[in-house]
Amino acid sequence: MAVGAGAVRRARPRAAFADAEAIDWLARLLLVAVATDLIVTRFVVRLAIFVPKGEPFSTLSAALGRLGAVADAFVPLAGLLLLGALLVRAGRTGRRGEALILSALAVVAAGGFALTYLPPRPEVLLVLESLVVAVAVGSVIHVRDARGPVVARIGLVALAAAIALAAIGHAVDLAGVLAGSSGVSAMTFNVVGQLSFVCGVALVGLGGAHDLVKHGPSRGRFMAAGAVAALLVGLTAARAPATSGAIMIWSIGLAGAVPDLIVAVALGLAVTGLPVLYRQAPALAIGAAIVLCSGYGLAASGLVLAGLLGLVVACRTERPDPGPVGDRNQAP
Amino acid sequence: MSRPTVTPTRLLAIAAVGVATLLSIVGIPVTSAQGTAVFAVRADGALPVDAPFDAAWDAARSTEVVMTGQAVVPPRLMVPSFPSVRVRSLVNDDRIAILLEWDDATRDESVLAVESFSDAAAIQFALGSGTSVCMGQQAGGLNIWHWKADWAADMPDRQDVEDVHPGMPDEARFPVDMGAEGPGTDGFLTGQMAGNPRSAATRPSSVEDLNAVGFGTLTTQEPEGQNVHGSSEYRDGVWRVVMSRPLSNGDPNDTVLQPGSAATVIAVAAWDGSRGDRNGLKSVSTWLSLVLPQKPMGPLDMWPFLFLLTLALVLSGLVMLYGSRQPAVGLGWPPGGPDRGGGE
Repeated sequence: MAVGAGAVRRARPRAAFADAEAIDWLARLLLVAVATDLIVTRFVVRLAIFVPKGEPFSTLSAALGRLGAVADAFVPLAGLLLLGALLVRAGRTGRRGEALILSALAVVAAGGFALTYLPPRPEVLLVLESLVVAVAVGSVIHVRDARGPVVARIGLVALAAAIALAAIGHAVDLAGVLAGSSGVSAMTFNVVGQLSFVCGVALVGLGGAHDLVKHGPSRGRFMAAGAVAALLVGLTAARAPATSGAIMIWSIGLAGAVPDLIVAVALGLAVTGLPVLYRQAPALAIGAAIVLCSGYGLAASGLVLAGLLGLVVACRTERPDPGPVGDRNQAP
Repeated sequence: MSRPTVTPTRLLAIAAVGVATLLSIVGIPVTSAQGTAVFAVRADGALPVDAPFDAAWDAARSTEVVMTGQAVVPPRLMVPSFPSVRVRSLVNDDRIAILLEWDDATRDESVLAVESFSDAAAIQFALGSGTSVCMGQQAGGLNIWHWKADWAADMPDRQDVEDVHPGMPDEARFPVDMGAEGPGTDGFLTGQMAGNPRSAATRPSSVEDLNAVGFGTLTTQEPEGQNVHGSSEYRDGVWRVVMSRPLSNGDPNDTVLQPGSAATVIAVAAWDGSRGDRNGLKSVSTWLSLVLPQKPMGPLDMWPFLFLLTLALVLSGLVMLYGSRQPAVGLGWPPGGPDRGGGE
C-alpha cells in the first residue's frame, strides 16, 4: 500500500509477468525455442534432404519435420510472450526510450504476421525494414551501460550492425523497386553484414573466453566443446564444401561471404565463451545467444522478432527503479 | 528463484507450446518468409518478349540470386558453375515475362557431338505450399519452364548430326513408294515418331513446359500445353533469356499467375554446357518470391496492414498502461541498492 499526501492507495496485485525473474525465464525460453528451431528445423531437417528416403529414415525424417514445424511455430509465440513481459515492464519503469523501441518491435511483429496472409507490398516492407534498423540501433544505444566485458559488448554492437545491415540491404532493394531504378546493389550490404555477424559472434565468445582462466576444472569442458564445434564445421566445410555451404545458407543465413574457416573459429569461440559469459552477465549471454541462433538475414519473420528481442535482452540494464509511473510524483 | 513469480509464466509457456503444436498440425502459418523477392513491374503495352536486351527491361530492377551446386542426389555438382543469376520480370494485362541473366564465358548451343552439352536455364514454380525445392514432392508439384540453348539455336534452322559429321553415311530410310502407308521417309527416326520433344523436327518454342513431383518424375507437358515462349541472346559473355506466358490459361498443370494475389514461390537453375552440366549437374537457387504488381493503391487502400499495425501500437500502449499501474516490486532492483555493480 503506497501512501501519498492525504490519500491511501489500494494495493494492486503485482504483475508477476513483468518481474525480472519472469523476464529472465522467458528470455531463456526464447533461447531454447530459437536454438531448437536452428538445430531441428534449419539444420537436421535440411540435412535429411541429403539422406536416402528408405525406412526407417523416412519415418524419422517425417517425425523430425513435424518437430521442426512445431519449433518454427513456437519461436514467434515465445517471442510474443517475452515482448509482452517487456512491454509491461516498460510501463512499470516509465522509460520512454524502451517503450518506443518495444512499440516499434511490436509493429515489426505484427507486420511479419500480416505478411503471412497479405500480398507483400514494397511500401509496407520498406517501412518494416526501416523499423528493424531503428530497433537494432535503438537497442544498443545503451550497450555501454549493460553488464559484461567490453569485448562482448562490442560484439553485441557488431551483431546489431549485422541485423541493421541485412535490413538496409532489403530496404535498398525495395527502394529501388519503388523508384523503378536498377541502381545500387544490395550485395555490398549483404557481404558486410555477414562479416559483421561473424565478427560479433567471435567477439561475444572472446569476451567470455578471456575470463576462462578463472573457471578451474570446468574450463576444459568449455574449451573442448568449442574445439569440437569448430572442428566439425571446419572439417565438414573442407570435405564437402557445396553441401556445407548449402546447409550454412539454409540454417544460419551465411552465404559464403566469410571463409568457412573463420566461421568455424567464430563458432568455436562462441561455444567456449558464452557459458562463461553467462556467469558474469547472464542477460548479455542469453541475448547474444538468441541473436546468434536467429541467424543472419533473418528470413522468417519469427526469427526477425527473436533476433531483435535478443538485442533488447542483451542490453537490459538494472538501473534504479523509479517506481510505478503514477507514484513517481508522490513523496517517497 | 521464487516459484509463485514464475508459475503463471510457465503456464503461459506451456499453453504457447500447445498452440504452436496445434497450429503446425492444422497447417496455419504464423510466420512469413522475408527472403529474396523478385518484384514484377507493370508495363504498358506489349512486353519485350523477343528482345532480351531491350531498354524496356531497365524498368524492372534485377534481383541477384545466389546459386549453389545441386548436391542432393547424383549426379551432384559440388561447386556451382555460376555464382549468381539476375532475375527481373515485367507484366502487362495479359502476359508475364521473366528475364534471367548470368555471366557465361562460353556460348554452348550444340548437343550433336557426344561430348557436347548445351547451356540451359530453368524457372520452377511451386504448385502448392510446402513444396520441396528439390524437384517437388508428391504432396506439392512443380511447373518448370526449361530453356535450352540448343533448342534456341534450332529455331531458325534445325541443326542435325550431319552438320557435325558431314562425312557420315546417309541414314537409311523407308522406300519412297511406302510413304503413303508406312511411317514416312523418316520412319527410322523413332524419337520423332514417338513424339519425343527432343527429337522433334520443329518446336514451338525454345522453352519446354514441364511438371515434376520429385526426383525422377520430370514430365513434359502435352504439345497443346506448351505455351511458354522463349527468346535468348548472348552478348559479351552474358546470356539473357526471356521466358513468357499468358497470365491465365486454365491449364491445371500450369502455375497460376495472378496480379494482386499472394507472392508465387519460384527457384531458378542454370547449366553451363562447356563444364559438362546436364541433368542434375546444375547450379540452383533456393526459393524466392515472385511478387506480381498489385493494383495501384492509395494509403487508405492498404487498410489491412494499417489496421494490424495500428492494432499492434494500441495493444502495446494498453499493455504498458497496465504495467504502469503495477507496484514497484520484483523488477530486479539489484541487491544492495541502485548500484550498477549489483548482480542480475
